[in-house]
Amino acid sequence: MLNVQNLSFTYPKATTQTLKDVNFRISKGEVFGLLGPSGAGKSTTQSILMRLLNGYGGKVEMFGQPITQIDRSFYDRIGVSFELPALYQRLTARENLQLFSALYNVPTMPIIDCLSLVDLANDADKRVASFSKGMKMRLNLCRALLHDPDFLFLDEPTTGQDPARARLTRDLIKRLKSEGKTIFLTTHNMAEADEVCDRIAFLHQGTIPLTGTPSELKRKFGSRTLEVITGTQSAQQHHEFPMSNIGRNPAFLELMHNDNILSLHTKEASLDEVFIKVVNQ
Amino acid sequence: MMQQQSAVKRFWLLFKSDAQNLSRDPILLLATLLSAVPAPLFAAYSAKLDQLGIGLFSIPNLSAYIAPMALLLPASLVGWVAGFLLLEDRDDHTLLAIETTSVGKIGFMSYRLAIASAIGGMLGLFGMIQIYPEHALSTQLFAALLVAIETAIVALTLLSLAGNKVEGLALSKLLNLLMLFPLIAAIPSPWRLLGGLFPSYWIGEIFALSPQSYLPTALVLAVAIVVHILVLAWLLKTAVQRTEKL
Repeated sequence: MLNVQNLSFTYPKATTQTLKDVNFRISKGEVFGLLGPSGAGKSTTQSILMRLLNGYGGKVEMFGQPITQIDRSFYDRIGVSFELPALYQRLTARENLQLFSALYNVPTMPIIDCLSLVDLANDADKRVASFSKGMKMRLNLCRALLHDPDFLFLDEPTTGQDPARARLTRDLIKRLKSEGKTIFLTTHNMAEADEVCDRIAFLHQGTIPLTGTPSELKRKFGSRTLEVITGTQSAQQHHEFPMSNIGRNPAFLELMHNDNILSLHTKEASLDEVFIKVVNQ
Repeated sequence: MMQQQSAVKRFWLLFKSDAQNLSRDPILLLATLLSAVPAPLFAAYSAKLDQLGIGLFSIPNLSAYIAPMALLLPASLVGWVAGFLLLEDRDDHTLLAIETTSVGKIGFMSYRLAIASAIGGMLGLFGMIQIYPEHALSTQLFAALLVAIETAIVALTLLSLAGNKVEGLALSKLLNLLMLFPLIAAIPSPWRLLGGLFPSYWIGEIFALSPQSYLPTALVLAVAIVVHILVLAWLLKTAVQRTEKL
């Protein structure tokens, strides 16, 4: 679906490259997360993939052909939800979507159905200026879905949303994936990336030093140990066991017969820890 | 179920959205409504203006000098509204969102400029029929075409030169000065033709503010349209370049 090879980019008048030999592929129906600190080049990468930025080196293919060779019908097949709400403030949610539906050469979803996807149907006739940031972000996402695109670019889709709304958005992303949509997600929220992404890539100083599935990366950067917490809530004892041959570890087996186990978990790294390690390397 | 809209319906939806958008901003609404006022007001009070001109400044036929401004003011107001809406689109990133649609920002800017020019041109023709009823319809139509292009020029000047909406407001005051350029055509000297570098000058030349003519009528019309098209093309290129930096 998307193939990026040796992508490099330098902004005019800049002395250093923003992107250096970036390589990755995204398959159809995959949710791919691009993570990295601010200034790493995530927005630049996204802008190039969306054809908003020219003058790059390397090869970018989408839908089986170089993106530069696709006419404007390219935009019939992609949907973009920007990090900032890009909406008409004086228009209502419904009016915003009506305007954008007029800008596509392909059929669009009924407005109210689209608003229902992001739980904004009851706010259809309220002006966007009165919306909270979270509501604006949901309307942004809704606009990206209006023409039922095959490929979605979602930039920080849960920004400004309370946990319940963020859950709805994540569930929507999973649903879109189950419908066969391909999703390119950029986020600073590692828990979100962990939950919704099939694969993630860390972009740091213009290169991708690390890529893989969230579970692979967490295992790679964690220790192969199991932690058992026993005791009571007020007096806890922590025990650690190496994962190798744990089934034959007498101390572990003895502890398993203990009836005061509070918790038991593998000590894999969190994506936050992976992120920090990548950035500090 | 997915819905495919006809081109006419899509155009209507865009026009309706623009109308709703500007009707909810008091300044944009006022500017739009005021654009219909100058020509009838001028037609109703031109005789009084002439009397005032003689009485206060001893200038005969003062209304002839005011007439081009009454003709250009509506175009300037409509162009300002269109330009300001585009500036707002650039500032609020909606133009960036539009760039990721099938129509794209150039398509959308073309639609907005075409609508503004059509309204400016119609207001120009409406004004000319009232202000210069003695001129042939062909002259009026040609001048209306120039006024239509000037509407787009005002809009694009804002988009090309202003960095944001605040700068746009400041620039619009300078743009008002362009309405004084037809008065250069009243100077009885061939040097006045230098004013022809500015599109608004040519309305004064076409409607012969000075009895002294230095160019044949056909050449005046030809140069006028060429200047308008060149300025429009330059501004269009500059405005598009400026939106590349979104």
